[in-house]
Amino acid sequence: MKTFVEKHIVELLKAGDERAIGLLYDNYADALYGVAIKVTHDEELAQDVLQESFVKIWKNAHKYDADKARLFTWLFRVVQNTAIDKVRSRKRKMNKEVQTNDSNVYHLQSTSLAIEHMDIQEHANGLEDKYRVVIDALFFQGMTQQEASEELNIPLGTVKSRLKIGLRELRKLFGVLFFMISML
Amino acid sequence: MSDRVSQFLESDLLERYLMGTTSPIESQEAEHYIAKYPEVKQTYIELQENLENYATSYAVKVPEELRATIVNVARNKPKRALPILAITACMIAAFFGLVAIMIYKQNQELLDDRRFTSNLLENLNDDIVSNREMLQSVEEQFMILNNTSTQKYILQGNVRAQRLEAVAYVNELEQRSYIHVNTLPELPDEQVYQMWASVDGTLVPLDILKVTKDNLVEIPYEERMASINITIEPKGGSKEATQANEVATISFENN
Repeated sequence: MKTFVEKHIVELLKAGDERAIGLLYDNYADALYGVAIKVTHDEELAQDVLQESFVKIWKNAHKYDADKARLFTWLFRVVQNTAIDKVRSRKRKMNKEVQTNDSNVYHLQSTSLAIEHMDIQEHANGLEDKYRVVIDALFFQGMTQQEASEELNIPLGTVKSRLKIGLRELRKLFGVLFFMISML
Repeated sequence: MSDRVSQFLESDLLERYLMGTTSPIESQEAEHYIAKYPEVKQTYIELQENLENYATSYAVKVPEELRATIVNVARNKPKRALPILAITACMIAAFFGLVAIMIYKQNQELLDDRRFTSNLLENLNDDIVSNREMLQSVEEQFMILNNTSTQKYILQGNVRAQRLEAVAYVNELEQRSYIHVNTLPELPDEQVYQMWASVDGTLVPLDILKVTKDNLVEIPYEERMASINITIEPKGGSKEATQANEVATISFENN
């Protein structure tokens, strides 16, 4: 379901109204920054990613098709692709492998997590690890299903089913949250 | 829920479409199902909400100082690259268009030059052929004139054409004869000087006589030619000589 803010931002973006940038930032920057950190594992690089992504978002606003994807889905893809490109570029530059997902590296994430998102994180934490690693590999590491299968050493069919079940589980978890919010 | 929809939802196409990792054909297929089947559309909406919630669960507070930088940088970038690209593309297209026109014009000029040069060459070739023929003719004349068996005859006009001066060269061995007409008294427009060869007592018509200046003119050689006679005849020449109008004669029998 699209929120009023989302609709308003899309209208401003389509009209080329600069107020859209501020609204986008205020409503999505934290989430997108989190995505950038998850992919890059580096705060400084993530800030570059965020800045570059906002430039791309503003320049390519006319390409956004609200009928094909929600605004966040589009923003997520822009940030994800920009971050993956940055990581690959840095990997080539430094000629050494970037460590794969290691949650211990991100102390920052737990300490500076945006307070307004803490409830959501609690619910996301309810997701079993076996589903979380698959979703993280696909959504945040930019891996294909085949690459995830090789990296996580699990069969391709299992990757597919865990992605599907994981997303379904998320639906259940967040469904409870939204139900609670709607009751308040 | 139809089997097709169930089958589609069981596949991972919708999830991959959400991640943006589908091929263009797969994207078309996913968009078709989303547009056509409400169940698929609903699932897609839920997947997007889940993605947003899951990603938001990892949200990290962006340092305060970054807001102004990012918002300003984004604002200062041209919103759409397309017009710049379009303008650049137009300029490049116009540039290549101009270059193409220039090349076309140059090509046309070169073709004209080539045509002109070709005509010139053709004319020069004709001249060469003509000069070669002339040279050959002069060489032949020279050979005949220098041949010891060539006889030279000087024609003098009688009272009717006192100023007539001509020299004839006859080579019986080669059976060639030439005449060089230096001067001819003027005649009325309706009359001409005509040459005749006396063969076996009969005057055989040869050519009309004209002033040849420095050139020799070959005249038809007749065997058993006893003399060359020149008469005044009506314009265009006659088939039979008007002997009363004879103005000069060269007799070969006396030589």
